Amino acid sequence: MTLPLSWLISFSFALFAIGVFGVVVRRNLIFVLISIEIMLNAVALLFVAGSTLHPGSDGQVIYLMILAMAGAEVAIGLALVITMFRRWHSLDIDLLSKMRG
Amino acid sequence: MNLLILLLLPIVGALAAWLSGRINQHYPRWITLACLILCHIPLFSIWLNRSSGSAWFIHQQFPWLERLNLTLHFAMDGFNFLLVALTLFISLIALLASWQEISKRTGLYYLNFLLTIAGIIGVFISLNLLIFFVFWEVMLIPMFFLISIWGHEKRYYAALKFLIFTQLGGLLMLLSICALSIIHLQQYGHLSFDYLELSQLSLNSSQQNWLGLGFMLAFLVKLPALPFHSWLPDAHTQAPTGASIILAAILLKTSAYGIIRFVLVLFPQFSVDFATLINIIAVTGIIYGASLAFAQTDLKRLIAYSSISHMGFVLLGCFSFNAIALQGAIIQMIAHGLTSAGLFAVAGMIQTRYASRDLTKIGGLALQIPQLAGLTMIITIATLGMPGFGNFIGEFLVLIGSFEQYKIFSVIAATGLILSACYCLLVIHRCFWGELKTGAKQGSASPPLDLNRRERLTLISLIVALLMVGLQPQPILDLTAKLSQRITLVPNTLATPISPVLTQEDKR
Amino acid sequence: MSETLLLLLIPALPLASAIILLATRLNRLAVSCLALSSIGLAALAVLIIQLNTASDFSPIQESWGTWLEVDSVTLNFAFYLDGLSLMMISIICGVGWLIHLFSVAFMAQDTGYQRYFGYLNLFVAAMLILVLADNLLLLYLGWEGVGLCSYLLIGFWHSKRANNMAANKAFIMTRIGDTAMLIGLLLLFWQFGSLDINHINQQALDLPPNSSLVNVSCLLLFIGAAGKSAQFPLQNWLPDAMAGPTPVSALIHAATMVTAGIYLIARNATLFGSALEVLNIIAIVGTITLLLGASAAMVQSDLKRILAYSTISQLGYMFLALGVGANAAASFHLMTHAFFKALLFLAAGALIYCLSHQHNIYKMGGLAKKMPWVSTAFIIGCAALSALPLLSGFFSKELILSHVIDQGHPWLWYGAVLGGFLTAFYSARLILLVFFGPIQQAPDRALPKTMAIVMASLILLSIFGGMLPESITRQFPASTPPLSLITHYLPIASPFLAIALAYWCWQRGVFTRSITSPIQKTLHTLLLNGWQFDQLYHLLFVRPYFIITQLNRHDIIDGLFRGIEVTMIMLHRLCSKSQTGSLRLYNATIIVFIVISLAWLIIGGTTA
Repeated sequence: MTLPLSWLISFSFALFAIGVFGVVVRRNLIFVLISIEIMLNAVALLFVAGSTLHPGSDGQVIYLMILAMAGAEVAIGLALVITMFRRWHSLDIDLLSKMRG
Repeated sequence: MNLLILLLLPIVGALAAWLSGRINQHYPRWITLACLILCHIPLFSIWLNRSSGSAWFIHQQFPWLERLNLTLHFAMDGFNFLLVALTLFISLIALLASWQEISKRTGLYYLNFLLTIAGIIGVFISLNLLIFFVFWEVMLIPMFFLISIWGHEKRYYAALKFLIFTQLGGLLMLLSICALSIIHLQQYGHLSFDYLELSQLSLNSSQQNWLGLGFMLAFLVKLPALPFHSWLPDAHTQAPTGASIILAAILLKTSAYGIIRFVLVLFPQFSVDFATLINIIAVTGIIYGASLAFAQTDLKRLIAYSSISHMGFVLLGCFSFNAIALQGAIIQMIAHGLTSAGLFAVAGMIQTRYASRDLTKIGGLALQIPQLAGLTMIITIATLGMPGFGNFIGEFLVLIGSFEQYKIFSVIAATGLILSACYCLLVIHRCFWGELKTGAKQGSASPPLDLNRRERLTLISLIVALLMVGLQPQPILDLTAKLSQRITLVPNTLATPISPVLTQEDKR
Repeated sequence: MSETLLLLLIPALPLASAIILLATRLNRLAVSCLALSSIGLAALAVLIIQLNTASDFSPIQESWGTWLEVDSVTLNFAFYLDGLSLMMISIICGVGWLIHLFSVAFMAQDTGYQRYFGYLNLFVAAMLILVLADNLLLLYLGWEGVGLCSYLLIGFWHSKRANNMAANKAFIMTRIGDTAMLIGLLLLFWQFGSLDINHINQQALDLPPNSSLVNVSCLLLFIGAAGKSAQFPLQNWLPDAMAGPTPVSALIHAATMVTAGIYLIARNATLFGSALEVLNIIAIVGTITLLLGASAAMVQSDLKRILAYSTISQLGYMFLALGVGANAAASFHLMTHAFFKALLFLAAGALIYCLSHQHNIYKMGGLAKKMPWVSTAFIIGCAALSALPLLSGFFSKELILSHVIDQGHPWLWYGAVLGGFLTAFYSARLILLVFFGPIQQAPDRALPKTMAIVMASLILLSIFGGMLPESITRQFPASTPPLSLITHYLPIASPFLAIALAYWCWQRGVFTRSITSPIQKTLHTLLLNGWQFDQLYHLLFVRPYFIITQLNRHDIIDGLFRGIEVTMIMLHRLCSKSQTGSLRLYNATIIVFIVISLAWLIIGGTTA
């Protein structure tokens, strides 16, 4: 049986909310990146759910693009994580406000 | 060609002075001196070759931007000839008075000095409103640097205040200029920034009010008129001597020039409607400036407030709609330029000798430097309006002229003469008479020297110029006669719209 | 030489010598020669003009050239000589030269010798310009010029603060009068179309008498005259002006500058003649002043202050005469007053010189035997001042009094006679205290011969000067009105009564007794301070002005703009608090605002 659309949308919103909550509240940079990934996946799921409403596979193509973009972004994010770790030996994002230009 | 040379010579001299400053720190001032003396040559040649028939001595146009219909339009008539002559004379005085004052980055100092002079000359000779605005800004920026780099204790504050006040006014003027050209576009089909073409516009009264206000605010800030005068004391006090002299003696006159040349001609209805208000501002400025000058203990601040008081007379003369008053305003401009230059030069001389401008710490200086005291007394007496010197002629003509239409303002302005006596005598008493107080420690070096030849030359040439303006003002009056007769508006005939003030013959 | 050329030279010579004296450095002999010769040559020129025109006299007019010419205003450096100005320049040059000669001896040890003579010559030049000017603006130039020179000379010894304050007071009080006069000038210009004196006076005849415009402008001119001639209420600068060197007091504050006001009104006689209300005011002010001055002079202890108040009083007489229309009498009294007051001041100067700068009359006494010349000068001068018969002052004062009663002003006449009584009283007091009685301080120095010669000449003029009224009668028709017995003889007898009273008081030691009763003490202080006008003006004008200007020293309007600056800085600090650098705060802020704006859009969309 097909899933009702409302389930997909509410699931994706819930995931997004969890991601937002994680970005705002978490102190460890890795967890912030993970939360951003969760948000991205939630949005991608929404696209896929939307693609069931229209003929054609546009939504799934967009899902692939989002995946690619997420991968690139995580690469940069992890590079920054490595730099930060080298500097402070910790990944607490509150340390970032101590940077002086 | 002469006008362009007159304009370019200071710019070239400025660059030469700057570059020579890298070789030796004494060269720039000699180059500046040479440049200023050379600038007199085109001025003389303009005087000798002046055309007697038309309203203008000389008229030159150089095309610049076709798209915006911008031409470099320069012209000289009797009025701005006098002002350019005053500029060159005062700049020589400023140079001589501050000959030994600047020791660091002299090349840069003289670059800014000459660029300011170039800007001022450009303001006086441009007849194209946009170019006028460009030079208006050009004369402000080097002055900002002069104050902020070589000034005294609070120089950054004073320079910034000066810049913000005058720039804001200038921006309003720019808006009005652009609006005028757009109105010209609507009425005649092409943009124009040219003064002579714009004076043929017929503006309805609300347009005149707003645009006139834009211009007028810029000039009131610069004049300085009462609500907007507070940049002046700080700028004058903190500036080095040469910059103070240029600021007081010439920069303030550019605004009066703008009023007479632009506001009274382009916006006659506005001038007539707002005359009472502006005269109230003028008269209040006279009294307020004099009262405030009386309370100061810093010598240069006192002189700065006296400038506010004297420029009130100029403003009153401009808006009295009477040929006598207008010519009185012009004479007051010139005479005030000379006296304020003298007073600031003296303040600089005192400061180099005693390292203080504070009147509570120095006093009785006539016992140590009698010659300086004597010459300063003559200049102070000229400032308070003693007949025989230029200030009296200017003030008297303004009072007589304004008495016709605005009796009350004239009477109140006359009482300003009593107050000006109060603060001028205060300068003499606190500074030169009384017991000797030099603010120096006991057993310090030998007493300061009296005037040297250069300083004596500076002060005596100013005094001679003042006596000439005071006893033989006829040449000035003849040069400005045509102008003042054309601009005299009659405020009582408000029913009929006032026809354009400039005629066909002015365009030749 | 032609009279016109002489007329041009008369003010030019002192001016040229003043410029040379002030601009160069010369030795003492050169200074004395230059100063004396310039005034002397001017006096000689005046004498030549007098002799040439003794038989017939028509006014001479000549000019140095145009001053300015704009629109309808045309003014020249033009001079006009008629009987009145001839008399004035005779006094200025004659008495002036004598005073210059006296100064050579008086200022012999002073370091500012050259500066002194420069200022003095400049003063004479300005006064001559004032008197000879044919238009009101040139007169105003001379007017301000004499004010300036008076300021410079009162504050001559400028290291003492008191002298500077006195000079300041003199200049500013006369400036107030000058400004009123300037406004009067503006009114006259717009009414009559020119500032030429003859033109204005001729036109004034066409106007109806007592018109408001003429009244207002004459009132303003009178305020100027009152300022310069130390009349009520602008009189309190004159006693303090005695801080200057004594010959200066003699020249400026007795003989010449203070008479400029009287000259102004006498010169514009026709104009003032049609301003009847103003004439009444002038007469009343004159009477008040003469009583004020005479009463204050009765209690002074400083020798020169007595003479100063006496001058104020005598100027009041002249204004009284002008106010009742007796211009001839006023000018006559001006002339005789110049003689005897200059004599008195110079004699006082000689006294001060010989007693090493002692001014207090209570510390002097019995000098009649030690200093015969000075005492004779004083006695004759005071006699002329008191209008004792056959001296010069007698003729002029009697003429004034007879005109006053003739024009029907009985109260003014009583005031004037009372003033005469007081005048004789304080003069006698002065002479008795200084020259008779026990000697307290003997003279240190001998009287220089120059001073003696000058005083002798002035003694002769004081005695015989009353017999030369021709130059006055050329200008103004002089008539001696008929007088009843009382009005004729009471003024002649009253000085003698006053002298007798003074002698009686002196014998009883009334003058030197200390004052005990409080009423007498307050009255004494009141009179000593010249009716407390100084204190009144200080309270009403000077202190409030000081307070207001000090309060506003930092300029409220500037405070407004500084307030804008302070507000901007506060806003800056407030806003920069949001830039914390904390990543979580930024994230949170972004999320919160996105949520809020989404909610707004959605809810706003559904309700719209």
